[in-house]
Amino acid sequence: METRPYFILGDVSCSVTVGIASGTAVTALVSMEWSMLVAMVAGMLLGMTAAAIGIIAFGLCFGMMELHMPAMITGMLTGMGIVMLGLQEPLAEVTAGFLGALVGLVIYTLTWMADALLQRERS
Amino acid sequence: MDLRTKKKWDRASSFLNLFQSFGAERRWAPVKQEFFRAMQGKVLFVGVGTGLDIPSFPPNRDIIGIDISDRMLARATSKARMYRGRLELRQLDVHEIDFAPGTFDQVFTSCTFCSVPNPVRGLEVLRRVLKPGGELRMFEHTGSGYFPFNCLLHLMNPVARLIGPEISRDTVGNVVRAGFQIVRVRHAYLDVLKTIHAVSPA
Repeated sequence: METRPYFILGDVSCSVTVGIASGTAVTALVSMEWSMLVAMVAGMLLGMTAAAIGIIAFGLCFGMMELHMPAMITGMLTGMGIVMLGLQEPLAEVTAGFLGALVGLVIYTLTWMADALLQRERS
Repeated sequence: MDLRTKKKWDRASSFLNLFQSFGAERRWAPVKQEFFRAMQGKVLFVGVGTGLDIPSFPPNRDIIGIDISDRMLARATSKARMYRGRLELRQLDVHEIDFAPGTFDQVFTSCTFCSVPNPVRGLEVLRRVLKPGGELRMFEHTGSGYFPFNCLLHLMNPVARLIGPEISRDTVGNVVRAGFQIVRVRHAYLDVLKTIHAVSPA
């Protein structure tokens, strides 16, 4: 698993940035008056778009292959999650961005742990 | 020659270095240097691209590097000239390699078989040009056996395929289907980036 500070910092920054961008974009662009299914699909697609942009931008400095897993999962989950929360009560963009950052951090940590486990599994 | 694939990689040659040369190469250079250290005898390197891997090759080896794209090879030329050993570049489609059977002791690939249109056929051709007992060593990104990674890779694959490689292939399975015997598979990142060591049956 990755242990070099430069790459860990880059990977975390990418996931957190994607989470913030997905959260704020969904709050700004998806209407909670849409049907739940349409809103969730739109949220997921917005999250994936934010992730794709983040992967390309951060990938230049840190390599895309290792960024795309946590970033894409972060984008999709944040997009859908913010829609689900927004349907219950209106969310401010700042709150949605903060929740997105949290999702990014958790997903990166889980992916790092999965990588550590899988690297032990060698045939 | 597969002109469609050639065109795709000719186009990619103009931006590949921008995306790969700094971040990805810097991250994987230590793994690649260790991976290429095993080069010995007459070596075929498939998918030399713009030559990003050449600085990681150990010196004084006898290598033929091939690629389907002449534009990629043009960019690789300066790196090949700086290599301290014998390194010859040729434009060849892996499906149509015309070396005599049993020419090579080893075949190396680095992020190549995510892009070969017919991977099993390509690997069968490589088995033919390897000596009996010759080694196939691959550094490849592949599909995953685990949820949610496999789900995500299949979801992203149609877009990835348009601009470059496929990201959900069962490359280890393809190696076995092409008639190689797996010696060792090591994960480099999750189970999606790995080194594969296989041998051509004697």
